[in-house]
Amino acid sequence: MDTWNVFWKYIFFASVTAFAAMSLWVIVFGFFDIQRMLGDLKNPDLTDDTQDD
Amino acid sequence: MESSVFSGGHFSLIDWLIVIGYVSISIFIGLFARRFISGVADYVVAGRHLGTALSVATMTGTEMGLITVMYSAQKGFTGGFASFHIAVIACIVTFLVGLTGFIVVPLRRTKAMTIPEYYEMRFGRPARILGGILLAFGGILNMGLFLKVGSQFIIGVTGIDPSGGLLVVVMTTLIALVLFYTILGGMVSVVLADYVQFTVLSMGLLLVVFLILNTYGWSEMVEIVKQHKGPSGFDPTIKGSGFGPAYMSWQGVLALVSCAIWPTAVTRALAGRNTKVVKRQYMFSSISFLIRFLIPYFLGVSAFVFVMTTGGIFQEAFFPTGNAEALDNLYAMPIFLSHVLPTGFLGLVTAAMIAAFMSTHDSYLLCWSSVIVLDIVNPLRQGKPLTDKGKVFLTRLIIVLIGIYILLWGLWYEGSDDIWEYMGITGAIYSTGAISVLSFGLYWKRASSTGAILALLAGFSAIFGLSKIRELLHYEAIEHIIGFELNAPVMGLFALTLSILAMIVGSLIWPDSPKQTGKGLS
Repeated sequence: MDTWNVFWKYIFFASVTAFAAMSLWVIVFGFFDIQRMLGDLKNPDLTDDTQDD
Repeated sequence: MESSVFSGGHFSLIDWLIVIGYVSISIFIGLFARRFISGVADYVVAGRHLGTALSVATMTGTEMGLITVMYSAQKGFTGGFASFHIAVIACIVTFLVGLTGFIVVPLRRTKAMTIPEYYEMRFGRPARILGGILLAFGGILNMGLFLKVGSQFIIGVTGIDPSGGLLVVVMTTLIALVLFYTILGGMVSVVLADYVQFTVLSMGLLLVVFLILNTYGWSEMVEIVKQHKGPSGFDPTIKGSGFGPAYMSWQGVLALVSCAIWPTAVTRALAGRNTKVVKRQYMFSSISFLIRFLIPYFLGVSAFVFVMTTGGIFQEAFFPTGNAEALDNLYAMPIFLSHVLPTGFLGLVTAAMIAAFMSTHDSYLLCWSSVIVLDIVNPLRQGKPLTDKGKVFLTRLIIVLIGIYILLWGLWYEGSDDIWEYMGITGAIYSTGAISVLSFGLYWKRASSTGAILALLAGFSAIFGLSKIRELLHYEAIEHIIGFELNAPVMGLFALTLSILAMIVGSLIWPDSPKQTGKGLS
C-alpha cells in the first residue's frame, strides 16, 4: 500500500508540474499560431507549408 | 436532507458576474470568426492551418470536457487513488501514438477530412456510408448525457434548487450559446474558443489543486483514504478496488480510441499543418490526456476526504445509514468545491468548468454534423453532390437538430449511475469496428472491402454491453455457466476481438479485385 502511495504521489506532482509548464508554452505560442492561422485563412496561397514529409 | 447539502456554498453575485463575463467573450469569438470562413475545408478543419501549440490547446479543450471532469471525479470518489492508473495508461498510449505516428500520421497523409472519407478512399462508398452511420449513431448516443451531467455540476456548485425551473433556463442558455458560435464560425471559432477555454481551464485547475493541497495536504488525504478503503484505495490490481486486469486492459483500448480513433480527437490530427505537427501534437497532448483524468480523480478523492472529515449531513447524504437512498455521488465534487473555494475564486473555477463544457460541445456538434453531411448525405446523392455552400448550410442545420436532441435527452433522460462505463460502451459501438478498419486498412495491403464492412458490423455488437440491454437479455444464466461477469469492459473487449477476426477472415475469404486493391493507401 505504501509503495502505491509513494508511486501515485510522484506521478501526481510530476504531472501537475509538467502540465503547468505545458500550459504556459501553449498559451504563449498558441497566440502566435492564431495570428498565423488567421493570416493563412485570409491569404491561403502566400504561406503554404502544409505539405507532409 | 438533500437541499441542506446543496445550500450553504460560497457561490455569490461576484461569481455569477465572472461567469457571465466569460460567456460574453465566447459570443464575440463566434462573430469574429465568421469572416474567415470561405469554404467547407475552412469550416470543418480550419483550412488545415493549425500549428503545434494551437493544436494542443484545441485538443485539450475538446477532450477535457465537463463530462470528463464529472465522471472522473466520480471515479476518484469511489475508487480513491487507485483510479489514477487510468490516467497513466491514457498518457502512455497517447505518447506512443505520437512517437510512432500509429494511425494518425498515415491518416493525415490521405488529406481526408473525416474518418469515413478515408473508408471510401480505401474500401469504397458502402464502407463510408456504413461507417458514417455507426459513427454518428454511437457518437450522438455517447453525447446524450453531457448536458445532464453538466447540469448536475451547475446545481452542485451554485446551490440552485434542483427541483426549480431555473436549471432548464441555464442549460438552454448554455446550449444555445454553443450552437450560436459553432454555427457561425465552424472550426475556426471552435479553435479560437478552445484556446481561450484552455487558458481559463488550465489556470483554474492548477489553482484548485494548489488550494486543496493547502487545505488538506497529501498525507492527510492518504490517511483518510487508507482508513476507509484500505489497500483497495491505492492498488488497482486487487479485486476489491473495483478495477482488476480486465478493466485495466479495457482502459488501454479506450486510451487508444480516445486519442487515435475518436473523431473529435482525430479531427485535430487531420487539421494539423503537416505530419510533423501531428506527431508533436500527440506527444505534447499525452500530458493533457494524463491531466484530464488525474486532476479530476484528485478532486474526487478530495471530495471523499471532505465528506468523511466533515461528516454530519454530508456523510449521511452520500453514505446513508439504514435504508435511506444515497445521493448521486456525481454531486460530491461540485458540492465540495462550493464549500471549500472562496467567493470570486469559485466564479473563476465555474467559468473554467463551463469552458470545459462548451469546448467539448462545440467540437462534438461540428464533428457529428460534418460526418452526417459529408459521409452519409452527400455520398447518397449519387451524381448530384452538394455544393460547398450547400454542405456548410446543411452542417449548420444538423448542428441545430443535434443541439435540440441533446437538450431534450439531457433534461429528461435518467442516466446510468456509472457515467464512464456508459461513455466507454456507447463509444465502442463505433470505435471497436473503427480500430480494425483503420489499422488494417492503413497497415495491411490485403484488407478488403468485405472485411471492412464485416468488421464495422461486428463492432456494433458492443451495444450488448449497455446495462439496459444486459438486463433485458438476462445475462445471468450465461454468466453462471462461464463463471465470470459479462460487464461493459468484457463486452467491449469481446466486440473488439470479434471485429478484428471479421476483418481478417472477411479479407482472406473475399479479397478485393486487383483493381480495387491498387487504390489503397497503404
